[in-house]
Amino acid sequence: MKQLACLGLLIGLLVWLQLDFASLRSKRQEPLRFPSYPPSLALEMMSLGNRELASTLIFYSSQFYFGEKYAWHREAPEYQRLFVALDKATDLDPLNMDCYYFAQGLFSDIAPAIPVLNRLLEKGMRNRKQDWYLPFFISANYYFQLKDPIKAAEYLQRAAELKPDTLLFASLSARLLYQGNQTKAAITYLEAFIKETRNPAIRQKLELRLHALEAIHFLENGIAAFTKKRGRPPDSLNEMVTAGIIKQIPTDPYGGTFFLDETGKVYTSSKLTETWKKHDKRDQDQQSQ
Amino acid sequence: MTNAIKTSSLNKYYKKGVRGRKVEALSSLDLEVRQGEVFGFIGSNGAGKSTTIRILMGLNRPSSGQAWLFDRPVEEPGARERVGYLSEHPHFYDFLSPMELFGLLGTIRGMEAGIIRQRTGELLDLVSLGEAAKRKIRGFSKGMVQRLGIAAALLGDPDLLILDEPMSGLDPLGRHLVTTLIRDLQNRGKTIFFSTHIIPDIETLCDRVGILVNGTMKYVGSIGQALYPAAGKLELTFRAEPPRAAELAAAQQIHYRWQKEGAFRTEINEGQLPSLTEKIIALGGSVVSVELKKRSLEELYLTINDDQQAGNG
Amino acid sequence: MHKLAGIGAIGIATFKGGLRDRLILSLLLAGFFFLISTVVFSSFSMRQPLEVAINYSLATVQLLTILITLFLGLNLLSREIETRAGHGVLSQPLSRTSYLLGKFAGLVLLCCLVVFSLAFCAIAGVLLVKLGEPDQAIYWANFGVSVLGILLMSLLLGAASLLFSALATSAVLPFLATIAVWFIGQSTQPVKNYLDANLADQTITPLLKAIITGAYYFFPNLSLFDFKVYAIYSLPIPAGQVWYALAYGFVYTAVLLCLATRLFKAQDML
Repeated sequence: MKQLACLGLLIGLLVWLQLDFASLRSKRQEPLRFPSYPPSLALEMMSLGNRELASTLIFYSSQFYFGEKYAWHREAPEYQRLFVALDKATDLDPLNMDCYYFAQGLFSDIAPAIPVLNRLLEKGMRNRKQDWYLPFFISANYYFQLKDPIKAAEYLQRAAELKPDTLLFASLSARLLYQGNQTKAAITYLEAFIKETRNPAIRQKLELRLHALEAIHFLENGIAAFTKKRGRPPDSLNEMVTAGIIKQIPTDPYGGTFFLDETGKVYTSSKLTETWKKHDKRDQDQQSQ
Repeated sequence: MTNAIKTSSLNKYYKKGVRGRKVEALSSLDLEVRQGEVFGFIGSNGAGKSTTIRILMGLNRPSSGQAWLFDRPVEEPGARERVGYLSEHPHFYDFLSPMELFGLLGTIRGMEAGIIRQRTGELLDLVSLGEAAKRKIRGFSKGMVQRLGIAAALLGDPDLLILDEPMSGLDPLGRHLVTTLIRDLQNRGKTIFFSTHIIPDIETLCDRVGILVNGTMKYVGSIGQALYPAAGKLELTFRAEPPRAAELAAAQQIHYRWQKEGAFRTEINEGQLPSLTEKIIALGGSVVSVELKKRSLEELYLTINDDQQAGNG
Repeated sequence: MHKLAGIGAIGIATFKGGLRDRLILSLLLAGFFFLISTVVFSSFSMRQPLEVAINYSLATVQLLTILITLFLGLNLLSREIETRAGHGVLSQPLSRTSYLLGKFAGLVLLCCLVVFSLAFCAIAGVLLVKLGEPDQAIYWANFGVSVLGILLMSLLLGAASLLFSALATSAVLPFLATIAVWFIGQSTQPVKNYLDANLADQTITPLLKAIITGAYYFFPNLSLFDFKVYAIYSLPIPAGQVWYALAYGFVYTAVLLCLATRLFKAQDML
């Protein structure tokens, strides 16, 4: 009887501790850290012949870390470490599609990461020769971030060869070739990506970007309508509101504000369009030369 | 004639410790056991009895020298075809039942399945384990395992039975079993070689004995020679009034010892018997028994040990 | 004929002993639970739950099989000599070689049982995951080859543990030595690949390189038995690779057994 009471008491204590720990964890002060993994060779040796499993485990830990940090704590994850981890995971198992997919979701809107991201995706392309996603991703990155429609079309062609999804590829290549509405093309890329995404945190991240792009697209449509009506582009976004073309300027989900620059293009004060401007400048310089 | 067991200058060293210090277990052991005899192998603990037996059974390898069973070197597994063995602490696969164990051992010995089954039934009944035939050995008591060991040793109807301290772990029932068994096998012409440090076993069972001291054979001889070394000596037990007995002793120049129930025991020569008997009767006493004078094996064994120690010192 | 019957009888007894050992049963039970967890584990994958399911279940089969083999190897000879349970058999008219081969035969039976029952659990787990991915095909032949590879590897490690047990009379040393062989055997190929890929690298001294190359050729190359990647990603297995692994496994295992019997012949039992 005494023993039973003792046991009950201990179990009660344990339950209390568990619950307390759970609440403690949710309001933890210290930042959540992502581990830096040992070199790929050491990882391979430690996996004892289970490279593929080790690769999956690294991917899982990256995914869980990102989910907790980004979706739960709403903090900026340690992108650099995440990239290194995914690079190591794809060294262990170069066929691990999860890693490439996750990397694309994580880094495709971080302009400085695009060259290394594309290198990682190229590694995937070398190993997953039948996978249309990889050239599709690279194409999107070239088009959207590096503003290189020729390279983008080249990779899109390779993706189309692997998966002849006529509708998607036709609409995309048309946009690429005729230099049509770039924002619409970017939205098409993104929508194709989101459709296949199951990870909620990545989905959240992609949808955020989609909303921003849709806002820009909305403004661009407004500009077109304004130009048609008045015979000249608006001087500012507010002019469209006063002219009654649009009801209000949408908010930038990234926290910036949208504005028109001197060339009449829509930009935002948040990071989203930072690199576009740089590339646009380069294009203009090239044209003036 | 073929010897059941023969060894020739058998040596065995064990390496002890990290530095490999050599410990001598046997030195130049020569041994011959003839077919059909019961041979007692005597020695104190650590004298080398077990080592000898383990070499014979192929469990240990000699450092030098050779050993044969029925003229076949012990290194050949076939040498043990006609041999049954009971170790001091029998160990079997305890996850098996006696039935399964005997099936395994019988198959190894090349016996046919039908014969194995028949022998198993007989032998388990013999050692009163018939009812435990299908139970796992894991649950057996120590005495049961010991009796199972006896049955296992007899499975192949061996011509030579090697028993290592067969009596040491046994209850009185088991002891009786082993004693009758040895007598029975002896009657059927089998050879029995057993080691012991319990003297009464030897006195009742053995034809010949070997005495092992510190890895060397100190005495080998028939049990008769060992027990009755002085020819013509008799031991006479008689009953008489104590003063008469003293009178008699003084007259005949004999020494007597007080025995219980008013009897006296004395040692005499064979020639003295008729006259002495007459005297006892004349004094109003009676002769209780006359026996050949027996030297105690304990005495023999102790003497040898003393010699050895004296020699060492 | 009579020798073979003896080897067979010992093999069967060893098999029974393994079956009645609670350790193995509990490990098998653990394996069962692990494989049920396949469904949970693979659900975290973004793009390839079925691949992850095959990956996870084959890795689990491999890990558990090797763990069980290590414990079996521990029980097989060292423990049997330590507890003297083998004396009853060894004192029979039976050569040490037959005894050892019988023990190995029992190990083969046990390993087959363990591998196939774990593989059965693995297939069940993968099929559960496949319910959610009905369009994707699985190359079951490649799955089977992977399981065969795991079996070959475990038999080789079992033979190695017999060899170490024949050398030493305690049980701990052979156990640790076999684990070491497992670790080294899994590492030599990655390290060699790394060396070959970095020929110009000056950080590796020639001595180290010689040691690594020596180890590569001396220790069993367990990477050869790894066909998991072909099963996971449904890739065609390069021609001849399976036969090569079979031949390599048989020859290496046979060499280990020969060495073990030679060493075991001269050993004193406890």
